[in-house]
Amino acid sequence: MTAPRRTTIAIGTGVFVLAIGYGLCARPHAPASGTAPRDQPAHAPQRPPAVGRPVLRSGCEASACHGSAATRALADEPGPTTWMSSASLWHARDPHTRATEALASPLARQIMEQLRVEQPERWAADALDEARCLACHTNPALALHANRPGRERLRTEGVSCESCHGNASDWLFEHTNWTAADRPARYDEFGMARLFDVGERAAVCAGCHVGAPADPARGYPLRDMNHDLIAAGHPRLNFEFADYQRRLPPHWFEKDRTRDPCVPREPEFEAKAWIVGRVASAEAACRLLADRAARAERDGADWPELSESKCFACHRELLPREWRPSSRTRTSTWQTVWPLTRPEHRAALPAARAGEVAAELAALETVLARREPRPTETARHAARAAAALRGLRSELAGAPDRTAAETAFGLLARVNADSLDWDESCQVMQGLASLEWMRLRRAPSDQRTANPLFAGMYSGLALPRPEGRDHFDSPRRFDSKVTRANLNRLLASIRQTCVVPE
Amino acid sequence: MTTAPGLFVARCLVRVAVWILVAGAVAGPAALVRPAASAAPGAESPLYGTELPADGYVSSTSCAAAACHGRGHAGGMRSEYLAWSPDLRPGKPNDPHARAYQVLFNSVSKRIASLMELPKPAHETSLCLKCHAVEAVQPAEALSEGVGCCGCHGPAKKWLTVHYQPAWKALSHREKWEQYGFLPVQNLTTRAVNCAGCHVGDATREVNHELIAAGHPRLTFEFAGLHVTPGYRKHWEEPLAPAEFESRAWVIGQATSLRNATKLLGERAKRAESDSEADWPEFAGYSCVSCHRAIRKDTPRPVPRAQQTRGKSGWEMLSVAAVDVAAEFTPRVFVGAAVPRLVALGELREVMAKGSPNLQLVRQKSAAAVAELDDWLTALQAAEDRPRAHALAPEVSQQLLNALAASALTPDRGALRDHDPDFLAAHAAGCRAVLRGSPDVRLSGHMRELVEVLPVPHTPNGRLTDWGSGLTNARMLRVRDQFRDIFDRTRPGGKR
Repeated sequence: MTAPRRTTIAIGTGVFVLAIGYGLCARPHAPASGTAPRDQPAHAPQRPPAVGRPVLRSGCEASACHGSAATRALADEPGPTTWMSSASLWHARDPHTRATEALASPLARQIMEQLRVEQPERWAADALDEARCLACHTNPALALHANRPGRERLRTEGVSCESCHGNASDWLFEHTNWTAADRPARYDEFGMARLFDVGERAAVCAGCHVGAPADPARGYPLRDMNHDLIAAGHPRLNFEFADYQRRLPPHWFEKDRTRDPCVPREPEFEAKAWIVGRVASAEAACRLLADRAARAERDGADWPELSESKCFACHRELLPREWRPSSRTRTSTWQTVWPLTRPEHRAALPAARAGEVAAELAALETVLARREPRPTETARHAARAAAALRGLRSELAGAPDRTAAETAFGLLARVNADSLDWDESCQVMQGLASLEWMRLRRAPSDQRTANPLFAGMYSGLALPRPEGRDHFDSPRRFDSKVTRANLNRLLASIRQTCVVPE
Repeated sequence: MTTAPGLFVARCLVRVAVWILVAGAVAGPAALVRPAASAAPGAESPLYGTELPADGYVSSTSCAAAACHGRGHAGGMRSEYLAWSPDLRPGKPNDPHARAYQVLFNSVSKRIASLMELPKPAHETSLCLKCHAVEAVQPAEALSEGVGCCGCHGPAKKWLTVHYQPAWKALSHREKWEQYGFLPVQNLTTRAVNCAGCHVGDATREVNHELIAAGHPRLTFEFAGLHVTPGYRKHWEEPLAPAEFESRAWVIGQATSLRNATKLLGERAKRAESDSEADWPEFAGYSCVSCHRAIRKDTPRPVPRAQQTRGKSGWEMLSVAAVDVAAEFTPRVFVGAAVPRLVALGELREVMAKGSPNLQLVRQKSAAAVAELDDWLTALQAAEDRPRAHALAPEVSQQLLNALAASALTPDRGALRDHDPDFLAAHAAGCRAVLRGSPDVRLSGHMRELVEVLPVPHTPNGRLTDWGSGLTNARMLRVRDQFRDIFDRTRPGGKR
């Protein structure tokens, strides 16, 4: 065992040294000659202000820092010492490790081939050279300057530490000394992302999982997974923050870091994560929409961007199928930012913000109700809606877990299952699942049995995967009558069992 | 190459002079034959029989006297009224125009009215009555006749007591229309333009996506094919030989449906420009499959760089797909007519291929394209009005079939040029028309296969056909093989 370990350590040290070296070189400034950055807006500064350079994973992975053995953390629930092995945990289990690898897959090749059939000059032949793909499949700060020597090797670690926490060169040494009292201020000062704040965390995730405009100040290119990419074969983005977070092997211990000493999160955090995640998704969607509209106006980009709509707004087979939105329910065809697009639900939001959010979203929806929304108007209203939603997100994230959970419960209590389409039914079920997780975490460990109604709901809403592989199809099994009945039973049952404690 | 400059100039002058002479020889008689209006763009269209008068419509019973068109022998001479009117026994051949009003009471119509939140029932709504009856008929009770005599033959008030007198026969088609408002539907162009008013739409009549979404069947006008709809009882006989009739009807049908579709597009653009609340773009102008596409792996992908591309829409594909073949064959089918100029149409098609077609451009280009198509139809109408001196050359049918099959395929014949079902249906319908006129036993199997494999739009019982699930890669390969074989067998020296 010793020889391989020594080799590993030697290789590890080598990689570390190399990576630090490259990291120091890899400052995202003016592109090398002949490698024009893709999708960077024309007004992007040539030399973005310093917001830290990537030092890469090996900078965090020292065994005395975040790289201690993950054996215990892998076996147990996260605990106060999980941070010590967070990098090892990530390395061992996290799907983000494989993000760049996916760009070398047959699917990625197929997508690039499809894209290049129509626009050979627009897309790189290899996804690994395409800034638009790299923007989310690696640290976005490394995505530009595709052919710069050495960049390719820097990218291979996938969506690693700095992709979410921010480039570490400025805080790598500092952050070991911060305390609960000065933490929020220090994070901002040194450019480390405040991921302990669930609102900021959801916004960071949404940057890729929903999309974001280019951010020249940070050297981030445009992150926009649009209908061109979906039509070429990229899976649609179905971001659900609370659900994704639960599925992710946690390399952290969930606690309130603004308090000293830190206190573990209460079970109500599950419901809080759901509502904060919904608002963060809506905010990111509005910001991206504003950017798409602005680009359509400025550069003649595709408009209307079809991925703004629910898939089944257009992709309907021509037989009366139950999942077709009924003309009676008149649900919006805009991508679902449910529950915020339903006026009856907005009443459950914190009173101080509800009015502003309701007004901005209603104005935006009026603009989008046109078959061909006007780009200028859309950009203006979407930006205003994003700003209002940002305020709501901060407020919900800053509220005590129980207060936010009450908001979530209030929203779900107002759901009328009779007027939901497939997209919205999925969102409602995710919300109910969060309440169920909250209930389960409150129960003694030997009494944690999930409500059996969920199993039926899941299979009714899921897309069939007949070949056992990724197979994106219409929700053929969706029967709105059965779903409605199930959802109503589930709602009644959750309303009884899941009351937020006073 | 070392020529003296003087000699070079002289040669040029001679060439120019020859060209002027040739051009004069061609254009001179043409200017005499062609009505002057067509030469000047923007002048009043010389195409006649396009806009029906507002009044003068009488009930069909005015024509049904036993001594006139109401003899008791359906299918025979002077029994046209009986052939048109509905049979009491169901399942017999009949003329659906006689039931046009009646269907406004059925469950589909009721559902449409309720989904569209019409203030009145369908049979009292002008939107529906415009095509499902002769709206201006007097007395108003005669609405219940559906699309009666005057719907197609023109308002009879002026000519009812004239059209059987000897002097009537001496009038030309154009005179009958201009003096009396009688539509000479014997002229296939006049007939087609009038059918298209309802079956495609015009400035005041249309079936838009709102109606289709509410349950109205989509309009799929194919002029030649509609004459032989199963169960349709014609009340007239075509004087032309089948081969001649089918090829003429097909070419005229292509030009007509495209003209009306383009005109309607221009109207819609104009409406959207003046009314910011009007729907634009109007989805009914696009192939259904542009959007209604199943999200499955075996669904054929749009062919790159074809007429319909990824995420973009095929505009009026049923009318546009084979229009170039129809244009090319115009001089061969109609002696004396030239290949039409369709430059503005090409430009319009490019504008419409964009994700969000520019309103102003669409309005301008569609007006120019309608002018071109009107010129084409004018030539076709004039050719129809001329006495037929030449029979259709026997090889034209084969050539037309070959050109249609070639147009459905890529230049190397290795693949289909487009996977849009409307594109393929338009080509298949052309082949069917030609083969109806001049049957070819070698190809009857191919047509059966095409009809079976192609999800040709049809709406039995008002239900829309399910294209999404019917459209698979395997089916596309079968369609390709049929067109390839038709191409090979109709090629000179090709497969026997």
